[in-house]
Amino acid sequence: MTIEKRPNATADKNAPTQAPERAPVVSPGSGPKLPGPPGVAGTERFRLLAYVKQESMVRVDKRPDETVLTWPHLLRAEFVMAMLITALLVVTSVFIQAPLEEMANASVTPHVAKAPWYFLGLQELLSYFNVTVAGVLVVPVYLGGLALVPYIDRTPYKAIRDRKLIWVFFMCLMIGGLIITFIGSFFRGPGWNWVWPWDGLFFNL
Amino acid sequence: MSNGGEGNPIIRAIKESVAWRSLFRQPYPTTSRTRALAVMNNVFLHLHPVRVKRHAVRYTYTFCLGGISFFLFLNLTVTGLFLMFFYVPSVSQAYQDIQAIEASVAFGGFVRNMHRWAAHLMVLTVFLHMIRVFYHGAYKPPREFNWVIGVLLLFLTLALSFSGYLLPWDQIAFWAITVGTQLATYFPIVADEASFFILGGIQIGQGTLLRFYVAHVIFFPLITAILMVVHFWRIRKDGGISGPV
Repeated sequence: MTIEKRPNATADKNAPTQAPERAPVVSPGSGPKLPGPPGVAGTERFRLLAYVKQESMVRVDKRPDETVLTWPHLLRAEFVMAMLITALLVVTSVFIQAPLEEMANASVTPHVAKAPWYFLGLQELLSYFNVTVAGVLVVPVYLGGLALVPYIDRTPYKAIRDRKLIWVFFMCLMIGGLIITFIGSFFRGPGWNWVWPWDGLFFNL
Repeated sequence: MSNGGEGNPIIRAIKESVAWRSLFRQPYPTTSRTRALAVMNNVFLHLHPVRVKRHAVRYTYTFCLGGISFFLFLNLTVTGLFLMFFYVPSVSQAYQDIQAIEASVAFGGFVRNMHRWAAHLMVLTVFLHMIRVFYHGAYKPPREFNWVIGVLLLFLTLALSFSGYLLPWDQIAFWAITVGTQLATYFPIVADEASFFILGGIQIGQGTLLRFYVAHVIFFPLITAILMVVHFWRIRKDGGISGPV
């Protein structure tokens, strides 16, 4: 309970303590007492302002804001990460060549024509569905579905167990996309036929 | 570190010179006050707030995925600018230019490799960043629209990567874009118009290469940069990055 101490209740003309018989009067002595001058022990009035549940009392007590200075803490983290990524890119670029095949030729169709890897899930879908459905509807529905996530999930909770519906929805998009992209990348060969990765890899980055 | 070389008269003379003081308005920040001022007074650093939440600087909270994506964008801008000096978007010259970049330009092959690997990595980190943000429920109010901007940035990342894919004008590029752009021919009603709009002609050719080049080097990067500014601005306005679950 939150109890406001009102040392001089009579001075406050707007206070609801105007009805003294209904306001709880607390004093060390026995029985109600009339309000006395401010600061005199045993004459204070109290009134109930709000009833606060135990759980929220815990949150009130928690320190509200734990912060650190951007310089040096955040900048150091950013610098370390930038250096790590740079090192990764330098090593990769020194040792792994970007692919370059023969010059483009519209009259020479390769054995297998694949889109960039992030569209291979889409290309895989094309082999299942009518092209209008797969080609034209999937991308807007996929991106639109992602964009709508905050508007579908209106629960105020952040923990996964408290927002299972959106979790399932999002995971279907992610894992579904991952699986068909994986199949399109490593399990499809000439003529978009099924090829096990150990029988031949048809994948370009 | 902070007062390095103070005892050295030459370094002290440099640090007390008019030129040095005009460049660095304050000494190396060592106190809370000067560190706060350093962030506020620098146009690049002031993208950050002066103070950040303690959990926000933990590597394992964000895995730095958004920051890495932004860093890769900067890397791609620099390496892409380098490549532009040696590349002409013409069907008769583009392929030879790529070969020349690899064979006779100093660090040409290295920079082209870096541009390509950074691009693939960026698609990956943007996706992972989205998954991280979802996991922490960071799209919750008041951050709903920033999530939408993030989805647009994901789309633009794919568009940037896809438009760049054609530029080497080799068989991989040509047929990947052929497959990718064939989707446009299945649009209901406006199939022919959509296809013509994307290809700049009835089939992949000079018009397509020029169109993809312009989209890749200026149109998509510009839109992406603008949306990134809004994305970062909104993070600040919404009280920094979201709290832990």
